[in-house]
Amino acid sequence: MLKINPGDTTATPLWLLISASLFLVLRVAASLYEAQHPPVPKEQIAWKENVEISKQIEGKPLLYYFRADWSPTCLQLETDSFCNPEIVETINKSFVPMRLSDTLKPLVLDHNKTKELIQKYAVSVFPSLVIALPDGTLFEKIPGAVKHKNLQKALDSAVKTFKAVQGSEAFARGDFDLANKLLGEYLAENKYALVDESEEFFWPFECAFRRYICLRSLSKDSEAEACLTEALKHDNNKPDWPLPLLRYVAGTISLKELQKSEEPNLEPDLALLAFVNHKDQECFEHLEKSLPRTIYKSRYDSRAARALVAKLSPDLRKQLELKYFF
Amino acid sequence: MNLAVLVYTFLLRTKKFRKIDLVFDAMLITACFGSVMQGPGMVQRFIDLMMNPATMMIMAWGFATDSMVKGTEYQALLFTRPLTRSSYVVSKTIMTWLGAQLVFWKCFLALLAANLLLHPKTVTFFTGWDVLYIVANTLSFGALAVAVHRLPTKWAGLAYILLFYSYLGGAAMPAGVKFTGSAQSATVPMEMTRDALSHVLYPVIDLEAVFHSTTFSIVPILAYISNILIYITLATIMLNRREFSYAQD
Amino acid sequence: MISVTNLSKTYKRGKIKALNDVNFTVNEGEVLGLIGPNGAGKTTLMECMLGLIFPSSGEVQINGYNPSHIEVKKIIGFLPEREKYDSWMNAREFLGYHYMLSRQPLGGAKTAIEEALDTVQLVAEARTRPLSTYSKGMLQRVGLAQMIVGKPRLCFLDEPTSGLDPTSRNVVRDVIRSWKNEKVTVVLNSHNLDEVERVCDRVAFVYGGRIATIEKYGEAEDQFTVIVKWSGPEDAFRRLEEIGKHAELELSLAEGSSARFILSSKQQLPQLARSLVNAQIDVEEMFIEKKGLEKLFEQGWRQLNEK
Repeated sequence: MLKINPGDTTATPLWLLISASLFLVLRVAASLYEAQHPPVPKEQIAWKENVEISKQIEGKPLLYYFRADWSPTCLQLETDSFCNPEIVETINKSFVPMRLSDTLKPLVLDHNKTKELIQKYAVSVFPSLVIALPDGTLFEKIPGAVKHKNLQKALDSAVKTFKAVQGSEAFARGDFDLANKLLGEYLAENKYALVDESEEFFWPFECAFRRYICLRSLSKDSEAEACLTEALKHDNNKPDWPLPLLRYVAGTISLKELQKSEEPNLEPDLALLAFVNHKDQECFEHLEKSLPRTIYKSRYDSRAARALVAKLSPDLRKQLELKYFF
Repeated sequence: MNLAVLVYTFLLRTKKFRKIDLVFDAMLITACFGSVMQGPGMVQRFIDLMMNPATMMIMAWGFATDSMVKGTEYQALLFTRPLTRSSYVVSKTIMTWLGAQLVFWKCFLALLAANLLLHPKTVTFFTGWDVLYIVANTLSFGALAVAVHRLPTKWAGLAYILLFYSYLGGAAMPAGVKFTGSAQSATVPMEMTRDALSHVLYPVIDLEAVFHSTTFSIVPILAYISNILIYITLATIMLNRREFSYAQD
Repeated sequence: MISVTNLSKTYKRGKIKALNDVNFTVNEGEVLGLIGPNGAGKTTLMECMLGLIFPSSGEVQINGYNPSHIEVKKIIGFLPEREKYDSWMNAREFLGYHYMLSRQPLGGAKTAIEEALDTVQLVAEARTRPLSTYSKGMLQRVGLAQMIVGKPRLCFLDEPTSGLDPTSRNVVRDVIRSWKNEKVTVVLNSHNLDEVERVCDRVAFVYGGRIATIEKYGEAEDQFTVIVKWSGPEDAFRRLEEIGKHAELELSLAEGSSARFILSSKQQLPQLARSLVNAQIDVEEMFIEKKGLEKLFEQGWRQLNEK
């Protein structure tokens, strides 16, 4: 058995046994106490319960929180991250938070709706956070109990860029009107005020290009030019895409120099430019080059270019349809 | 605490494993320069990787082990000396704690140097909370590593791999998602048990989360101290009961 | 100093009996040798006395303490059979480590280490090389040195001279003798009967987990026994007794047709021979009896085989 004779080298010191037992008891007692009287945070996240209505309301990105009662990892996320005042503030201010639980008590929410959402966003772990655009498109999925620092970063990044993504999604669908509105709002808010070399550096410039395309296609040429000029004011003379594209549109560099950049998005972008310049044949040629590159189908510009096929003259459209869509 | 054991453990790492350290240093410098060249996002990911519990396990292991190659510490001879086995365990824990930290600081300094060389304008660094995180967690992982090493050799290796993978799996719990409202998934009890086990003696403490939270909970701090004491007690008990014998003539 | 009472050690739930009810004592300043065939339990016995393994029943007391007591560890020195020393250290570091472990005052470390290395006659250039480059003899010397730096009062040596050359064996023997002079208790485990004879005060024969006999083995190098076997005449026995009285030779045993004379020196041998001839005893055989320990060994083997 356990030896505790002082002086024996194979004895377990009494102080160790006592302190280990003491702290174990304290810990269990504290856990039980807190389980019965959970500490209430000062600021809480204002979870919305009704999924349908929430979507329509505010034009803010949606934050779905998939959780389960029986998962201690969810508890960890809730104590670590959701009790953090900065995160609570961010979520309450900039998101529409919705909590969907698999709980042992009868659910408030509709099971089917929740199931649908899980399938839609391919949720496979608990806890999972899903950030979606106001119309339900998936923006980002954050599985697991992330630390509050990482969650804060993800939320901040989402807040900064969701409008850009929303606008780009609309642009990709070919809805230039909506895209123009959203991208305009985004550019107005951010005013290119991003840290040099951060990952979100390219967003304003890409959005500027897309807005230019939207405005040109809506025949608002002067606004388009103003948008382009505004973007180029923040040109840092680096070769990072999409600056070369903007420079080409402004006429500062030639097509050859542009083609040196070897950007995969080049052909779809040139197709879009040709379209707004009413050069159907040129547009057709660029589309022919961009459509086979299936791996870029998910990129916004590529998708917008594909949407252009429907807007071409019938004979050009037929040729493309025969070749690439059947 | 025993001074001889502290000095020996330190010498063991610095003198015995020198060749392996060179390889590690070369890898470290390559990794640092590589991640700095990729930008601040990559640097941050590098720092996060360093602080991942699985990485901590490996760092602590280096010091807690007797050796990485054949020829372990001659414990049959060691324990004929006036040395209590509990002081041996405590000394090993402290040295593992200090030693693992040295490895971390070396990594971070290399990262800082690479950052200053390649991108002097934007330096991604770690905060004071990160420092505390490393100090606190190297202690708990050190104690855990020492405890695991007191198991008989084959069990120690197995236990180490299991713990490593449980921490590497991270904090997500894959669940058979059956939204029936009453959690009727057959694997839930098993997953709960597994999760509970990995949480009961989970050595990680996130001090920033504890102190930045709007509601202060003393449970994580108590759990942390309790875990360390439990590891040391278990290690001492296992070592006390162990017999040292070499094969008969 | 050491008292072992009813000591038993079993493995595998009592199926293997490594030690079976061992009883003996060792006095302070004594040198006890343990001899026995392979697998007799000598190393197990030593490990029990060192506190490295725990007895299944019975007890070991050293100065009234349990062997794992700190007071006992302070006075113990141990030379293990296998020299698995930390091969990455050099001799000085290794001894420094053991010096610190044995709680000696840190100030005198350097001197003590050099003295110990000089005592075991380890060459100066080898002292800075890692132990992995040492030969067996050198490792054994380092082992002895690590005992010496601890300034032990009770030494356990497990096969100290196995596989050593004569020079190294002399070193070992000299160290043991110096301990003997300082009244340090030594327990020695060996197959080398020569060595055991030369240094031990008492010898214990261990076989089958038991202690067979403990013989007091004094400095009997000068004494030896001569056995005489005769075939006649009838009163040879009486004549032998007279020889014994006249030549002042000790007649220790006479039975049947053989007698045993104990001579104090080899010079008496010719005298004995002449006396036998003069007494007209028909000597069939006359030989010097085999040395004590060998006899003990053989006796033990016989008993073992009988069992």
